[in-house]
Amino acid sequence: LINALDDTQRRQAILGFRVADLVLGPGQDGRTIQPEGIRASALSPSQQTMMWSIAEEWAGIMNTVFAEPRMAEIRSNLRDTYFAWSGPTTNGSPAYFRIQGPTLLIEYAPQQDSVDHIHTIYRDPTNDYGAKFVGK
Amino acid sequence: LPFALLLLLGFSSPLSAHRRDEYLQAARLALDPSAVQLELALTPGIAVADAVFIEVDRNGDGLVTAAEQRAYAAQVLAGITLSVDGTSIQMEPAGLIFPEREMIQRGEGTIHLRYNAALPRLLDGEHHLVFQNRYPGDIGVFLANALVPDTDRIAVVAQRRDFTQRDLTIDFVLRGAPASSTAMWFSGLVGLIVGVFLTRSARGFIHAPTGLR
Repeated sequence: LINALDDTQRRQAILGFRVADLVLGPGQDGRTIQPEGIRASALSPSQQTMMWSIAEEWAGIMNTVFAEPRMAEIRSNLRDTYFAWSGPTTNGSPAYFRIQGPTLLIEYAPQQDSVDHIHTIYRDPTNDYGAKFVGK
Repeated sequence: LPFALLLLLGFSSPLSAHRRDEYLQAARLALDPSAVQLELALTPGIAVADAVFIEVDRNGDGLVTAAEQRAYAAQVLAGITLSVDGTSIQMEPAGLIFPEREMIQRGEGTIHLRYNAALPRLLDGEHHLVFQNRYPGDIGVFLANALVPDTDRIAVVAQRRDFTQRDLTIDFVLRGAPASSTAMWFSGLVGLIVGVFLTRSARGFIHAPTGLR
């Protein structure tokens, strides 16, 4: 996806600083950071398809019965979804990225400049740890 | 199933979250019209865990007392500066949680520190909050982020950082109190005046029999 962006889009998507780890890792339930990066609505349809395909790698790893409405919910927030990147853009490089929307947070954070050790998190900020399901 | 999945994903990270020779310092700043809250999550890697623990355990007895925790929170605070529109802001410790020593030694323990600061009275319009973290300089890796404000009176319009994220400038816009709040304030004032009047009337009523004795 990052290599499918044009120069203007890249300037918006690429953060000019190192992101060494997850910003909203375990223990950060209920917090929402200010979104950064490029708005999904500023991506072309084919770029959006690529972004949703990435999101599906996290949000889609469940039964189709659950995954389909979940992905539909995520896609419905296109205008308020952001894609951000930090690090090199060559394939296979250790780079951080984040997809953030009202009901979605995905972070991918290679540790200490190595793709051998990855920290990642997938959240629904409106349903952290399944709070909706247990009525909290 | 989704609940189980979230649980699995949520808890899977810390099990493999062994930092090595870095001291991760994640700062989150929450802004409201009159105050700033700073949360610091400090995670020393395995290779630097003992060095950090020695700094916390000042008397070297292997235990971390409440006084040593407070002293460490103050030591961290000494390396941090916060200012708004060029005016320095004083922060006060507001909470701390220290993990067990074993957790720190495994590179899985996170020290949580919280500080509060009152903002000077700000006019409506654009302002700049500058956060700088200089503690400790050599082994630290840094994250610094603004949280989405709880009130629509503040809008974060940009975050500017240096490459290491030791420095963060939050550009934000402060808007005036909404009309409904003004109306509530006015209603409260009227209620207060009526309340005082009624209280005085009631006192007069209660005191009257005494005066008749």
